[in-house]
Parts: sequence; C-alpha cells; structure tokens
Amino acid sequence: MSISAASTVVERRLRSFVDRRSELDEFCRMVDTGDRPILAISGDTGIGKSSLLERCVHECALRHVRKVEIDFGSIRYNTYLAIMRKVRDELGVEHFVPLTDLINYFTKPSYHLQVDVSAGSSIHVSQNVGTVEAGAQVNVAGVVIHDLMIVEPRTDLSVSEEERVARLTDRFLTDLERLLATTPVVFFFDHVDKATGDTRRWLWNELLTPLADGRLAGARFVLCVREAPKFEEELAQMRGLVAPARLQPLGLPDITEYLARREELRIGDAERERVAEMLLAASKGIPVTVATFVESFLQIRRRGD
Amino acid sequence: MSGAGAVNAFRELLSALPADPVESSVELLLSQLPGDVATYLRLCAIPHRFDVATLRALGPDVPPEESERLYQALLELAVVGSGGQVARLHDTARGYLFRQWLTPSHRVELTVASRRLVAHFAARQQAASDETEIEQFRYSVMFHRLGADETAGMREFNALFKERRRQFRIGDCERLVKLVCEYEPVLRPESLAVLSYRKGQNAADYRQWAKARQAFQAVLDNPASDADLRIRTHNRLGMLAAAERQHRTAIACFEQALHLAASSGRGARYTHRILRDMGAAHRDLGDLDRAMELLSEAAAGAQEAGDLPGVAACQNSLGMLHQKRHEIAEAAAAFHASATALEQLTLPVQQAKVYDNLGTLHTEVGDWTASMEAYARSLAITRAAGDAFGQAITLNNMARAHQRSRDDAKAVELFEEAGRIFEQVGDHYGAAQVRRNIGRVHARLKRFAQARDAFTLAIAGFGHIGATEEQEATRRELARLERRSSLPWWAWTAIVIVALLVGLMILVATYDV
Repeated sequence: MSISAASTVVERRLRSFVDRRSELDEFCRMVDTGDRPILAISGDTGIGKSSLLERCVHECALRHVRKVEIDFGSIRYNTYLAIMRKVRDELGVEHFVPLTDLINYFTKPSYHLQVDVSAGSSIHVSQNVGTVEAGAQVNVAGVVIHDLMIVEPRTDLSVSEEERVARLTDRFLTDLERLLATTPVVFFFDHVDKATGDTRRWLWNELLTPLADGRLAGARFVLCVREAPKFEEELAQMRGLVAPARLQPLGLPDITEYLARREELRIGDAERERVAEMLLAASKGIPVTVATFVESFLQIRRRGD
Repeated sequence: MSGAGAVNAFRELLSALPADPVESSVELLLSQLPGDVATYLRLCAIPHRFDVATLRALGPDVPPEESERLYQALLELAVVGSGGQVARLHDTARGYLFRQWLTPSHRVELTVASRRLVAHFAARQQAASDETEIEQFRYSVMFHRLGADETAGMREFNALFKERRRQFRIGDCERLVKLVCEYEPVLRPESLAVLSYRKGQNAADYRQWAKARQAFQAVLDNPASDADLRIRTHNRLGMLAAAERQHRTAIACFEQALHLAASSGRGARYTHRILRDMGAAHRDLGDLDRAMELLSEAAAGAQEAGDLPGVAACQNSLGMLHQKRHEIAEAAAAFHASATALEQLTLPVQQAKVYDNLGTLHTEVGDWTASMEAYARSLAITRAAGDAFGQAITLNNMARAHQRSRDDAKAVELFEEAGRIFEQVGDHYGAAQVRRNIGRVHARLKRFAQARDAFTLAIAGFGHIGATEEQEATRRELARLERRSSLPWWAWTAIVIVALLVGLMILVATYDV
C-alpha cells in the first residue's frame, strides 16, 4: 500500500511538472548522442533538482533505457563499495562475478587464495580466483552470485585502503565496460553535495575520469548538486564532457502553468493569475515553497467546502 | 467557501507571514493541516528518513491503520520526498523543524521521541541481516541517543568513530561527525570539545591540515576541555606539524604535551606515546642520537606500562633507526623484540611485516641464511592468514635477496611466482614491478631477448593502470638495453672504414688507376 501510495504521488508530481524544458531536452540529447555524457544539474536547495531528476528517470522508463539511481543523502550509498554493489545489483550480478569475488577477497575473513609453498620454496598458485566459496549466496540456476555484503575490510590482510580502492575500481570498471558495450545505462546521482569527501573523490577521479580517456562508452551520468566552489572545480576537470544545467527560480508563467495543472484547485483563469502573483511574491519562485503554499491553499479550500 | 473567498483568505494569511519563504511556507502549512498530520510532520523532522513503522514508533498509542493513513497524508506533501517504502522531509523543511526541536520549550518532547526512536532503530538493527542495513540502523541509534541522553550519545559516537577510524573508513567518520553536528547548538561545552577533537582528526585524515589545526585549536580554546583531551590535542598538533615536515614545530608541540602530561599526573599513560612521536620527529630531522634516546625511553616506558602494541611499534621504529645507523645486530634485536610483542598480541600480519624488515636487513649485510629464515617465517604467517598480497611481497623480497647473492635462476623463479600472485589478486602495479625486476636480471645476464620481453610486459602493465612515470622509467631502461644489445660505436666505425677500403680496392682493380 505504501509503495502504491508513493507511486501515485510521484505520478501526480510528474503530471504537474513545469518549466525545465531546456534541461529535459539536454538530457534527451545526452541519452541519444552520448556527446557530453555528464549532465550536471545544480542550483540552490528547493530549486527542483530532485524533481528534474525524477522526470529524467521517468524519461528513461519511457525510452526503455536502463538506469541506476544512487542518492548520496542516504547513509546506505555513501561509500564507493556501496555504490559498486548497488550498480552491480541493479544491472545484474551475473555481469559482475569477478568483482563479487574480489569484494569477497577483501572483506571475507576466511577467504583463502590457495598458495602452496613447499620446503624447497617451489610455489604453486591455484588458478581458482573467480570462484565463490561455500557460504556466499549462490543461485546456480540463475547464475546469480552475491558477495557477503560485509562492509568492513579484512583485518588479516596487509593491503592499504588506497590499493583496495584501486583494485576494486579497476575490476568494477572492466566488468561495467563489458556490459556497456551492449547496453547503454544512465546513472543518476542525487545530493552529490552530501557525499563524503572520499566518496566524492572516488566519483570524480575514479568513476568519471575514465570518460575523458574514451572509456565507459554507453554510460551517461546525471549529477544533482547544490552549487559550491568545490563543484565548480570538479566540473573544470571534466570540461568538454559536462553539460551544465543551472536551475533558476520559477517565473510567473511557470507558476501559472503549475496552478493550471493542479486540477484539484478548481480556480478560474482570473483567480489563477492573482494566486500566481501572490505565490511568486511569497515564494521567490522556489518550486518546493510554491508547492507547499499551494498545499496550504488547498487546505483552506477544502475546509471552505 | 467560493474560489474568490479562498483566495482572499489565503492572501490575508500570506501577509501575516515572516519574510523567509521556507519558514513561512512550512509555518502556514502546519497551521492549515489537520492537527494530527501537522503533529506527525513535526515529529518526522527528528529522524532523517521515516516509514509507517517509524510513525508507529513515534506514536505507540495510534492504531496501525491510523499510522498508515497519516503516512499517506504526509506523502502527499511537497516537502516530503519518497523512494519506495521510505520517505524523508525536504532538507530545508527538516532543517527548520529540527532547529525548533532543539529549543528549550521542545526539549522534553524531543527526549521522549528520541527514546522511542532509539528503541525502534535498535530493534530494526537486531532484526536486519544485511550488513549495510545494520550499519545504517546503528548510526540512527547513535543519532537519536544523542537526543535522548547526550552523555550516552557522545559515548556511542566516540566508540563508533574510533572503530571506523581503525578500519580506515574516514568517509564514515566524516558522516558521524556531521550527524553529531546537527545537535551542535545544544551540546554541552565538554561534548563540543570532544566533537572539535574528532573534527580535527577527520580533517587530518583527509590531509586538510589548516582545517585540522583550526579544529584542534578550538579544543584548546574551550575551557571545558579536560587535561586528557588537551594532552592528546597538543600531541595531534605535533603530528600535524610533522606531517608538514615542520619538525621543530612538531617537537615544540610534543614538549607541550609532555609537560601537561607530567603536571596533570597523567605521565604514566601518555609519556611513552609522546616520546615515540617525538623520537620520530628527531629521526626525520636527522638528529639520530636524540631519536635513539627518545625511542629507547619510549620502548622502556611502553614495556613498563604493559602497552604491548606500543612496545611493538617502538621496537620496529628502533630497528629501522639502527638500520639507518648501520648497527645491524641492534637492528635485528629490535625487530625480533617487535615480532615477539606482536606474537603475544596475535597480530600475525604485522608480525609478518616485521619479519620482512628483518629479512631485508640481513640481505643488506649479505647474511643470506638469516635473510631466508626471516622471509620464510613471514611467508609462513601470510600463508596461514590467506594473505596472498603479503605473500607476493615477501616472494619479491626473497627474489631480490637471491638476485644479490647471484642466484639468478632462483631469483627469476621467485619473481615469476610473485608476479603470478599479483596478477591473481588484480594488483597490476605489483605485477608490472615484478616484470621489470625480471627484465633487470635477464639484462644483467645479457639475455637481451628475455629482458626485452620482460620490460615490454612491464611497460604495458604500468600503462594499463596509468602509472606513467614508472612506464617512462621502464621505457628508458629498455632503450638503454637496446643500445647495449646493439654493436658499440667503434665497431660500427670499423665496419664503415673496412667497407670504404674494400670499395676503394675494387675501384683500383677495376679501372687500374
């Protein structure tokens, strides 16, 4: 019931979505051509970044394009490992078996790479890296292999965090590239400004930088972020690959159109103009504030009815 | 009410509102919503995310179907975003409402709600099986514990922060600090001092030195900071300066920490730790005698305090210092002492590293038997721990020892094994380095074709991971090899002269000049 209630709300919000046409066109162009594969949606809080992102996600559904949504506002997706796992789980774990195995190697305390060292120091390394040991979740019929979702690194391993990140990222990108060769994917990252310092560095330096070398063809990225000098610096590194979309407050025609789309308001054209003017003055055109005022207006209206 | 009537009523309400759009829109909405929906909208600003179960926890007396209705009513609001079964308030609205919760008039109610949320998220943490979810609930428990009981919340924050830091998860530490910062306006001065200290540690872990120094200074400026925190802060400031290679400043900070430890009667706890850091600073400054003095004193102090990890660390540092001074027997003794302490602590991987140091030390003086013995011990530990990466490193070191003892065949064999493991675990950098080592052995033996192959593989390996400097250096080595494998300049000159002479003789014979 809660999920259906949520989807009804989302549908209603999509129906009343106004303005942002040029940004939406830019998104469609990016999906179609792959030219400038990063769309950077920025603007102050409440300006409608997440709403635009929701609209872009909907566009993916209409076009049958695969997508992965990651919200840095959630603790859950605030590490590079959590992002890799989310991407893997959304796109199909069968495409990321080597990554899964490497994650197990770094996190599962009893993981044992079989290396036999005899007294005469003739050493033989087993060729079994890539298999998953008993205990991991394995669905043989569907070839679905998950790692153990352990979040802490092994304490019995002398590998530094930098090396761990580098090796896991290499593996992740290799697996992802293979999939992208046949299937384009749009990656949505919301609330990038809430990503922790190391996650944000990983996003720009490890995940997005390969685009500059012509890698990850087939991948498109949408980033939502509050404007900040740090973001400007990050964008500067990737110039030529980024289509910036700086969102502006709504204008009077946008608010008027929004009121028209909210059918439950039941107000005539003349009243709509007046209400739109009042809303623009009170909200300064910030979309979330406009919508909140409209809800108050609806409550007044309902009580009157 | 007619449309015009509603518009007029709306206009009147708008005119009485504060100027800030967010504040005014939320206040107006709260005043117009049905009472129970408004109450829950306020309550839902306490957690970061909520669902029907959270609403039930916040209102334990509300019937379940009523919680469902309230949740649905909240989902309708523009300030509430939802993703599947979880909803959250828009940042600006939550920020505004949460700040209201922190005001004195709402504190009692906040404490009650926070206690309920602690119990709720603790139960969900217990029931969860997904580690990521468990962790998420654990953070929520800590956050709401702060609202329910500041002392207990800060204790939990400190424990979590230390745990994450030990695991090198500095992003998580940053996250934890941000969570506590939400309560910053109402935290007691002693909690603020601890928070500043953690902020400083986190900034230092990110190598943001200025930010770290500012946070540590805030600890020293806070009259509520206790002596323990002040000693640790002076020591941290010393470590910051040392990291920036300002060794004299670092030593001054360590001296302040030492002085405070002694004057506050906390010398037994801190002195040996501070001396160790100070010893390292003197070592890096090149004052090896003073470094030796301090590290020896630190090691003795750690021993006396029963601080075994401290003993192990001091002895390892001492070993490296002795090695630097070419005092081989002393270095070996220190490494052995470090390994023994680590054995008691059952920290096998660190122990293996110390044996590796010992092996390298013996290699340096040409004691191949002792060197191989130390490496074999290291290898046995990493094997037992399943640490393939550690094994590859030791094999590489063993190979280098064989190379120095002119046992080239064995060196190549061990390099090959190390390289294979590096490739198995996906360490392309390690694999490329080993390839280059193999190339060097072949080059020295004038096996130019094998050397060329090994260097070419190393160049490709470095290129694959973007290690351009290493790639270039290896290219230069290959170029040198190509020059060595071709004929020297004088041979080419001789060939040209002979060819000219032969040509001349043919000319003379043909034309009978």
